Amino acid sequence: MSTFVAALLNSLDIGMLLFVIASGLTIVFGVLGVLNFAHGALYMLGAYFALTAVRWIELPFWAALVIVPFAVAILAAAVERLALRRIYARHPTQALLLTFAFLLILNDAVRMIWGPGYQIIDPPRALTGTFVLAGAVYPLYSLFVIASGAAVGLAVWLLFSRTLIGKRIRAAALDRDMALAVGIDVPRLYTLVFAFGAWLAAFGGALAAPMRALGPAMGDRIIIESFIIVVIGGLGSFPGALLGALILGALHGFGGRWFPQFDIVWPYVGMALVLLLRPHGLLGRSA
Amino acid sequence: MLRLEDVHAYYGESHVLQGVSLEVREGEVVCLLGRNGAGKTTTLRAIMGLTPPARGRVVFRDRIISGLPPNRVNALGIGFVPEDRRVFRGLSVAENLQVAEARGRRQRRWPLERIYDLFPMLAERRDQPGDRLSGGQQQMLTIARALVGEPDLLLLDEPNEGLAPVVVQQIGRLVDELAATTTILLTEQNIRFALRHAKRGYVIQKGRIVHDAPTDEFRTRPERLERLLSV
Repeated sequence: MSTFVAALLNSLDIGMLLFVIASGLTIVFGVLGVLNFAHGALYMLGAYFALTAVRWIELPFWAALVIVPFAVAILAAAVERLALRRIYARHPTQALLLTFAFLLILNDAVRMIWGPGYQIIDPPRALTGTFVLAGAVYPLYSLFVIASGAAVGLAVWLLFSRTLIGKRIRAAALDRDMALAVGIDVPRLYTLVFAFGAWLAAFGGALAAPMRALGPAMGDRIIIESFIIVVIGGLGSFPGALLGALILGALHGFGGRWFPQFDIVWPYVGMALVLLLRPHGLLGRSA
Repeated sequence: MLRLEDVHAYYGESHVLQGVSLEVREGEVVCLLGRNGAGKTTTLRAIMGLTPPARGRVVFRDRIISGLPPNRVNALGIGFVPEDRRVFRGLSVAENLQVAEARGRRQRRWPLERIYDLFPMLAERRDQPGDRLSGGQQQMLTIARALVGEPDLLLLDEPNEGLAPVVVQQIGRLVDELAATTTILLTEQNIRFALRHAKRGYVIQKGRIVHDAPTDEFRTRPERLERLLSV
């Protein structure tokens, strides 16, 4: 029983973190039609910014968790304005190449600024320690990650279903020309959405910092897992990102516990199965 | 109110508008007649800025609007109802209207309550997804969606295309009603609809205006119009 509960918590903690990150990727794709290769690098930037905030500026972790995602979002907004915006009209592969270039730049920038070694951040004092649930001993911080992921997911859902700006974003995603023609400032929304996607990636990075080692390649694994999640869930589908992330979390949480030697393989097996059986993803719309 | 001066526009390589000039005066209902592919839709898209003119200018109330993005054109008071309706499919009827509302205006001629009075059918279905509506209902929704943007000039692109005769009648009544307060430029293939509801007409052929006359003249000399439209 306790093994099962531990595996379940593990799945949820990995899954909710991945959900926050992958939802940013899928929202940006759904609205802008851009598959942001640099999304994992933005996650990494969130983690390193948090490291700097906590260790060098000596901010409390909570403050870092609030400020860092906004800093990364502003950076992303500038990138969208200055570079990405110019190539929407061109073939999608060009946006892919451009964001891939950002990924390389950011990876090397991180190596230059923070060095090639691994670093760690301590979790905030209130969340250090463990708790016991049904016999399983588990870090308190993981519970915080699960709760944060759920809160962010709920907030994003409310944003898109209840607010005017969320509805306008959906309209722009459904029909860009028509959205423009009814007076929606679509270019401004694109900047906002790209920045918001970066916010989600960076929030995930700052949130993950206290439980994962920070290294210059930490974003690469995440971007691959995020791709797998959105493929499983359906490209551009927000509920799909949740489902895909939970599936991937379960593959790691349960699969990793009982078949650890296959841990790296599970996500690919899952993706291959989905692609074979439902090429548009579990919750994706067929094109 | 609106003036097109020698407007040229391209769709990819093809030169769709080859120097369109026309004028719509305040309070008029003007019809742009032409066959499929003559350039009717592109003319309206060029006015909106959706297909920006490569040459020539579009002047709206003494202001050059060619080159402005469509959302700015909309904000200046031009509403657009596209031919294929294009409701936002995943959004409910109410949301379709909300996203298009001109909230900044001090004076709202078309607040949502008035829209729902005018289109009780939309009020009944306000929580339904836009794409669950029938073709005629979708057309009403796109017209309503243009109205909540508070247009002074309304562009209607083939408002009757593919709709049942009953719906065409409804739309005709609506056009007459709107004409009291709004200037309208509509495109049409259906000559009878155009003659009944427009005061003046232009005939467009291969991207050029080939004829321009009050609809009365078309009415008294229909053979001339038939000839222009059937070449």
